[in-house]
Amino acid sequence: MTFSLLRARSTAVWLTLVAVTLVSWALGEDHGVGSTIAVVVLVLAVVKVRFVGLDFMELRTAPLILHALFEAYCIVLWMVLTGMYLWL
Amino acid sequence: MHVTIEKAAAWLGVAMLGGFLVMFWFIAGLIPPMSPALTAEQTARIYSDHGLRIRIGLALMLLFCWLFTPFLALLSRQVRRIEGYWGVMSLTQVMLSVTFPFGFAVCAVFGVAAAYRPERNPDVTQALSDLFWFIFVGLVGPLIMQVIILAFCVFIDRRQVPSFPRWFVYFNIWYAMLGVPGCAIYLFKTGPLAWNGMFAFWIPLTVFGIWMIVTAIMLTRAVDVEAAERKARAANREWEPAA
Amino acid sequence: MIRPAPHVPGEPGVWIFLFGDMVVFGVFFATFMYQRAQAPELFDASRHTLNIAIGLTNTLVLLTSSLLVVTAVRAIRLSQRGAAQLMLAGALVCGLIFIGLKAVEYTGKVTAGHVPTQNNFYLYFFILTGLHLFHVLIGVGVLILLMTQARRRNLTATRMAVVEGGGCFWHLVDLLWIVLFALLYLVS
Repeated sequence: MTFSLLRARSTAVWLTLVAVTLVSWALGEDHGVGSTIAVVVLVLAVVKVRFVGLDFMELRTAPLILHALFEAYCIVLWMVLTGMYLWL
Repeated sequence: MHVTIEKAAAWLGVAMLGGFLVMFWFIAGLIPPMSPALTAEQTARIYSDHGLRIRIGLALMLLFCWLFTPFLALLSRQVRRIEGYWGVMSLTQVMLSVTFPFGFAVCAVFGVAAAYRPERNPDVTQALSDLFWFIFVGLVGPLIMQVIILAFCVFIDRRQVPSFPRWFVYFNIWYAMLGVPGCAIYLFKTGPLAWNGMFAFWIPLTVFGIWMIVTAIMLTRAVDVEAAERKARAANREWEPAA
Repeated sequence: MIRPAPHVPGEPGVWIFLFGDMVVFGVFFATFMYQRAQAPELFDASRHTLNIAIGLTNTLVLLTSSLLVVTAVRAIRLSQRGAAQLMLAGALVCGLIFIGLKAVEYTGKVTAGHVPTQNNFYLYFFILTGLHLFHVLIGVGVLILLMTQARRRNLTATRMAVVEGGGCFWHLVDLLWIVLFALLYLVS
């Protein structure tokens, strides 16, 4: 009963998210200031955010406007945070 | 007749929003806020250098802040319409609405007092100034409570033709959450949660302005819904519901 | 292949709140990055005093709770009430674990002398995680609300939309923490 419910895309996404989290942690734990690893960590974070929005919040099957606004948010967030990290 | 007065009340609220910004920002210059981290001497210097503007701006606020009340009365009446009688939620709206202009009036009194005698001990001036900011920025409870009750009422409104659209629920919840950080100013003298900080001052100020304008628009629509209902009842020769 | 009709998750209005919150937190994130740029060494040194194990565990706990919530919402749609309630209870437990770990983390930091007034990093750490914790507490309330709805035999379209919207709020809590974990524990 419960297990057939879990045999779905969302579970696969969850496994991916856990894996990406562990990779980010391994990379990000020990690095100094101003390194490229931080840029990778930020990319991975936005990738995770995107998965949560598209597959957990079910925006993948939402009307285009909602889906597009969310994608725009992810892109802008990534650009602003990475830009501030690298160039401020 | 009802409709004209009610809609005028809604727009009067927006006009007072503008008035508040003019009085506090352009006239008194108290926005952008001074830093809580200033010494007593520095604070007293601000109140003596800009004393006249501050006193004029705040005196005007003391005279005009009561013009918020019709807007809030309209809001309470619309909550009453949803609740169906003068119940707990509508009465709470009324009671909290009473406190709203006092939030502006009491803080203005302390601000005027701070600017009134520049020759006095700077510590006293700073204490009075602190009270101004504590009330102006920190007293967020009443309005937060009002919008949460409003959100809840709209959420449970099961009438055929609701007064407010569903998204208004979520809009009010959004406003309430963003207004809350103001209450933390008592713990910080610098940083984003100080009375001049991003999270405790600028964001709540911005969303307050947005909220007033959006709510005024929604209230005028609700007044139209009510007027249409009144007309329909009159056409069916039904009794008007009790006020 | 016929694509299914687009479906708005939750009531349309809830997205005003969700996007609104995401934008405001985006401003908070940018403010943090600005402050970091003023003192990168200080932020990096302070970051290393954080307990990354707690941060990592909290991230995994929230991800799991989100999986449970999205599966529970699907279960409600398929009228599998028992499974839905079980999973929502699980998500609730995850939420409580997060809050518990946060309490442990805060107490540990404060007793070690790392208080919000210590430096800018810790000021923002406590404020950002505190605001997020406030959202988690509300989220726990929302989960309890979802559990009451999961008990019903038939949900009207509006109720189902409220359930979906509530689920989305929990995913928002998860989403914001993903960024916070990256910014506070890994990047600075």
